[in-house]
Amino acid sequence: MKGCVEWHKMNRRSFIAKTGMGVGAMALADPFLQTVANTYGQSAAGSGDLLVLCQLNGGFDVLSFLSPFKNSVYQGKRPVLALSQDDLTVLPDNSDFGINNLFPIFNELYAAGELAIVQQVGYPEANGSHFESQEVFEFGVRNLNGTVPGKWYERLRKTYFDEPFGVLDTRTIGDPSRYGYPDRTYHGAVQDAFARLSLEKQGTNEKRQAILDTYNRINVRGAEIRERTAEFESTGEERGEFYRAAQLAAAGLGTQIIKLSYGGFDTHGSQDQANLDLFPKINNHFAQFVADLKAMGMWDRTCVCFYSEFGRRNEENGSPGTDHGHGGHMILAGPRVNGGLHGQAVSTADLNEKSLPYYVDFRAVFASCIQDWLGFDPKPVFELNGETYDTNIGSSLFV
Amino acid sequence: MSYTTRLLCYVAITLMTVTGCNGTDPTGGGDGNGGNGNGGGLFGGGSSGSGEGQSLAKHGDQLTSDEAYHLLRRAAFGGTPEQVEQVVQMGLTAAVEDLLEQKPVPSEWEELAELHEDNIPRRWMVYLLESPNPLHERMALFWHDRFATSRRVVSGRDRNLAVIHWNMLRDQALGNYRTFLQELTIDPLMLIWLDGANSPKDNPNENYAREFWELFTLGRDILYTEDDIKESTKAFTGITLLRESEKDARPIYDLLNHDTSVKRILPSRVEPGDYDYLGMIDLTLDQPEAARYVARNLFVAFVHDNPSDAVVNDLAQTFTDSNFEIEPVVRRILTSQAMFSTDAIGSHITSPVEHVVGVFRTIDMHMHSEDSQGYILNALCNELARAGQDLLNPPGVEGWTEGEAWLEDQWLINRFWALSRTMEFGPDRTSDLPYHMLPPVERWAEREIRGEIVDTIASWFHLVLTEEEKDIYIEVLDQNGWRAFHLLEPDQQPRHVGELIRLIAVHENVITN
Repeated sequence: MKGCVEWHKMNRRSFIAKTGMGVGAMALADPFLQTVANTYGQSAAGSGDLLVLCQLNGGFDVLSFLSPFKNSVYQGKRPVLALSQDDLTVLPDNSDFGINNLFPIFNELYAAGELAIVQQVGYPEANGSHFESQEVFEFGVRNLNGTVPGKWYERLRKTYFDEPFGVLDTRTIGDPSRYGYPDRTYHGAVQDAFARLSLEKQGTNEKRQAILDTYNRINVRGAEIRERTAEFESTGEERGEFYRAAQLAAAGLGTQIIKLSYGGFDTHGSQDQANLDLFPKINNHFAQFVADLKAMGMWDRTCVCFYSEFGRRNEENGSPGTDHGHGGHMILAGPRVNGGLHGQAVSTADLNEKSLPYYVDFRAVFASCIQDWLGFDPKPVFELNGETYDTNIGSSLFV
Repeated sequence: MSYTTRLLCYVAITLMTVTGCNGTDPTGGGDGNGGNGNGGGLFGGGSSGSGEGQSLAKHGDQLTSDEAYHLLRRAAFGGTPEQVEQVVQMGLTAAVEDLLEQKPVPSEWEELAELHEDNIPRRWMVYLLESPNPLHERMALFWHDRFATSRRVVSGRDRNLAVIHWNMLRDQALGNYRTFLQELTIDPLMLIWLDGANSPKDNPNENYAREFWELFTLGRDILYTEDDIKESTKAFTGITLLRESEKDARPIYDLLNHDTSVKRILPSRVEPGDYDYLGMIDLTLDQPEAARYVARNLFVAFVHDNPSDAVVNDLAQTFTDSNFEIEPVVRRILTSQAMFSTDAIGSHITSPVEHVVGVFRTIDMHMHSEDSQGYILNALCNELARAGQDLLNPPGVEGWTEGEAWLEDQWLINRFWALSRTMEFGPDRTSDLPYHMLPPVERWAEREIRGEIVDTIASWFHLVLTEEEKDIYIEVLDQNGWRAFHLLEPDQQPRHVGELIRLIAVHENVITN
């Protein structure tokens, strides 16, 4: 397409014009040097490490991830769905549990001490609605009727490292090579007009201003995001959200938190079949991410946190699937996590309940990521409007 | 699928579906206690004080051109300057009746749509762009977002279930809500999507029961508890899908798998009893909260986000008075003072489909050529999917998140791309540009033409431009001064006008309406 070629030409021109930077200045060998420099330039504290938040939407069935396969209550409640020893790899340090073989990279990381599983996490008075529960995880507080100033990681950014690329959501950015106004005229006339209009106009109401704000963000960030992601080459062929995350991590934009999400975990029916597609997808996308970050020398300074709005019911339904439950596990991956099991192991008593209960508040896990990994004080983020939570996990999640 | 074999052993009775319920109550019922709030200026015509944002009293019949365009954008995605003028001539009441009247769709479009078989995005797009019943399509889209269901759970032959579901949405969109819920509950795609087809009494599945209240009828955590969900799940048991070769799967009632026990559903409100799915629908609609939920949703979809309790109750009354006919509620909303109030104007952020279809309907774009009906249509649907709205494939059971959630950076960017997929324009079926709405090409060599072109395009969208804005748009035509538009080679001019149309079509006042 003729138009595209011209557009790419324009990107380069307007990028250099806007940032006043030659190409050489961007070509830092280690993107993390850039990250650290940017971070320290903005705030006095912080480790400069990268936290990747991977939200599993729909309610992740943790009993199909980390299975108490020897437990007769588990086997009895799930005649079709329970995993047997053939389906999993028994943990080297706890022979009562095994990780599903549909997750080889997680097994590998666990064996290497690079996987921490915080068991039976949740929050008080759990809500069975996806949306309510997702909101609780996103905002880090119960619904306060719109009084919460943004998602918890956005609040963290505003408090400690208030810069445009501090937190990037793969869903917001999309395909970075498309991030900008697609100009098909000569000499970037439309792109320039788009930028000027967005900057010089005032929206006549809040919603209209919100559109202009997005346009401005696209204009300000666009050239830099396109330029810095253009050279990225993955080690593999997968093109999911983790690929986007690796692309953004490689860009060296001073990003401390990358957020991504995968859906499809609401497995009320044919769960065994659904998982045959879903689990390998997550596994393969994540495995490629680990390989990409290792290839760039960035894995050492990365922690990936997996979580879901709730776990699923202990007993399978007739479909065969599982309905919405309560407690679930949070999974931390990275070379500097304290590998192994944390929280309360799933017991017979827990399995006799309808759903797994929770023993660790999810905010305690995020707070540990903020404090022990990113090096910030989590208090202003989670102890909002006088709200408190149980900060105790019982063990340290990082080494 | 295990349930087909299980079925063979059981008594199965084909489900009777209720049809043809609408039309028995054609009145605009419930108008009796209409004029709530401040009863200001029944014949107020154009001007709107903010207090009218909460008034369901009838708006004056004479509309300004801006108001007529506002009505068409909200109720019909958009409209050409000619259609706007028609609405002004007709007056509000007649225009709304015209919108509500279902007209025959020209066979050209019926046939084209059918060619796309089970590709619902493309098939639906034919109607969205070309149907003479845009309000019906708009309403189908509204319900699709409320009763969100995805084609991604069906494959192979079952892909046709998406077509059946889509037809059901479009048939019921302005019909009777009770009938709609009855059809929805036994709709094959819905039965698969929310596992209703796989909920036998010995091992019931809560998925449909939960979303029936949370998303379809009452709203999150309204009235019901977790215990109520467990009880109501029993009422929905026994529905399953019968699969016969060479036929579409159809719902059947498997009596042996229906739980006939006494259910205690919403015990503070409802007598315990042996309810089935029809009983569940009836007992739910008996709760005043149900009519209010729909009334609020419809008001928000057409007017603004903050209806007062009085407005919601008043509309809910219209709804129950007409025995849950949807049309009288929509008629009342579209003809209300609130509809044209300052609270309403510009308060709605369009979805990608609403936005792009609205622009295309405004600039009189059509799909007559082979290219338009083939690869351009395909590309358009792909761009809209990348812009966040893949029809019949919403992100989850809750449908799409409306409002500011549409403003994700990449989703806006992909709207820009969708808008570049142009087809033919106007009665002359010209390619490239709607020449019939622009100043004549013979004058494009005149210097003043640049401002006229900008003004003309802005007028299609009823935008008022400042001088500074206008100058920036003129520079687009002039390529930032590299080559003045009126001096350009004629074959280069259309591209610049096309770019200008697209840039104006992403104006924040076009994305909102």
